[in-house]
Amino acid sequence: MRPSRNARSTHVPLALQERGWRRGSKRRPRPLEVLSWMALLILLALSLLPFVMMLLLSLKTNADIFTRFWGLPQPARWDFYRDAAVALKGYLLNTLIVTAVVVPGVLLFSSLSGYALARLSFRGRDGVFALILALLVVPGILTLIPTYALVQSMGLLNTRWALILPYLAGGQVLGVVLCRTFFASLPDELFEAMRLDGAGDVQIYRHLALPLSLPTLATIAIMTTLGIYNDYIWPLVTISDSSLQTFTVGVTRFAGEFNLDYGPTLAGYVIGSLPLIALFAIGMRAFVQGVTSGALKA
Amino acid sequence: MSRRRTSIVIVALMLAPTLVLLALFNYYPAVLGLSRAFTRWETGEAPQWIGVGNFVAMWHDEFLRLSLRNLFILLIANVLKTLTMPLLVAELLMSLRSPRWQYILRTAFILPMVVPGMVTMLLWSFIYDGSVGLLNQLLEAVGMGALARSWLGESGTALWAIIGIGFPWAGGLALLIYLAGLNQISGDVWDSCQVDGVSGLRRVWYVDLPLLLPQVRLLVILTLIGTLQDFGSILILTGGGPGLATHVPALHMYFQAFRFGHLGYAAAIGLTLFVAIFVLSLLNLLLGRRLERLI
Repeated sequence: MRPSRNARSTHVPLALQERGWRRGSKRRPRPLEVLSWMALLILLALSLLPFVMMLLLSLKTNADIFTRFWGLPQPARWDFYRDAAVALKGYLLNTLIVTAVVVPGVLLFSSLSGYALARLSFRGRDGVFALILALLVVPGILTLIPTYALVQSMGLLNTRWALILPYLAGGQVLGVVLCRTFFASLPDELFEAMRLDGAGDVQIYRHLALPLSLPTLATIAIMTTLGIYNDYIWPLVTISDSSLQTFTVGVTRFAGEFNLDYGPTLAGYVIGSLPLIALFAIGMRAFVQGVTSGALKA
Repeated sequence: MSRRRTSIVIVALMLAPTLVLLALFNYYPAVLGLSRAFTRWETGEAPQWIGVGNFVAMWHDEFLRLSLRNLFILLIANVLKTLTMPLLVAELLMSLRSPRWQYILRTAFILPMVVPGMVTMLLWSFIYDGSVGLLNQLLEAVGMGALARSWLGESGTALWAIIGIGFPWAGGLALLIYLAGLNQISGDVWDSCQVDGVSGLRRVWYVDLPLLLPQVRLLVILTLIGTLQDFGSILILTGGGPGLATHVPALHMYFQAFRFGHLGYAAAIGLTLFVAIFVLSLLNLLLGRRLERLI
């Protein structure tokens, strides 16, 4: 995978530099650019309006919403956030537990298999990889009902395993493909050098391949977490006990606890968004760091 | 590279966790999905082979036929959404001369992507709410309060309300993909356009769009596959109603399996959707290559 060309503001794409960045702001803006700015700002305002209103209304009582919809909260009910956090805590914890088991497992198994498929030579290697690649075209809609029947026959319905095992398997399809592609792209000299120093396959995997693949692993971790966090149908059909239920299903039900008070409900939506925002804030940095670290340029 | 054969034990140990899990939770269900579609299979009963019986039943299923109409509308609307607004915003962003503002605005446009999908859905169901929904409040604020209604609750507007989710549909993955594509077009190409007096919409139509064809193809197929499979959002927002106003085949499959226990019939619907996805992907591959060669 390649880093976006203007991932950072200091890194100006060449095409842009040629097309006016150097000309700077001395020139008067062209009328066309003013139009662009106006259109962009209107579209941006429309895009963000729902989220701004979510923040604003999350602090208001129903009476405040009904009488002064657009006004600032009077007074701001920060306690709604505490109420919503209490109501959602269990669901969020369940999602966290499942994610904390699945993501490390996906990373470990994907990198092991990716390493074997890219760097070890054995009979049937390409066949095994083709079999895994083929799974990329099998859509969830085909396997939903059979997987449900399978999990049911294993007696795993309404347990955490009903979520963990299929996620662990499903996350590896893309994980193995990405890891194999990355390991295959590394220069052979690196591996030869370690081999000459007497390192075995396990040591090469552990001390060479794994550290180099951190950006790839970060990408896989982000995508797996997103998949688990946003999945609605699978936990809905496999988990009936609400003490085991995940956030995405739980958040559709918790509103009932507040007698149709909009404020705490919207506060809950904000709280439920925080983990993903944190993930992007942390994950993106690791991702960019991994890409820009010296090892890859060697 | 000099390759020695690796000990088969190490290879097996490294691949075992992946292969066991994939065999059990991916391959086996996929094969089961193919074979059980040809059985009469009710919850708690053993499946019985009935050949194409389920597919004959699908042909006569009035609900399924009505849901196809909604699916076609959604497919067309979603493709149009991906092809227009994100491309417009990408072009507008590229026309800004300050890369710093370009970066800031791009980040702002993709910000809604970090909000969980379910939160966005629930937020939109609040926007369409009949009493204090944001849309009704906006209409009242501009003096069009007479139009206010429960947007998801009336069969005349429910499907359009679902299409309207995410308005103005400007950000997201599509914007990122278009921007990446536009960044790949060399500055020389646009400079020579300027010299030749090709600018604005004419440049977008005759230069940018043909060069963006790979991105357009990717987005179209991703949208088609996503729309064919998605029923979670409809289940949350309307449950397919009111009546059958927002019913779609994937939701029909879900109801058949998990509400009525007709697992075999549902598997047949799932298999049909899989075939549709497969054929569309193949068409995209073949037609797309031919189109690219023409240009």
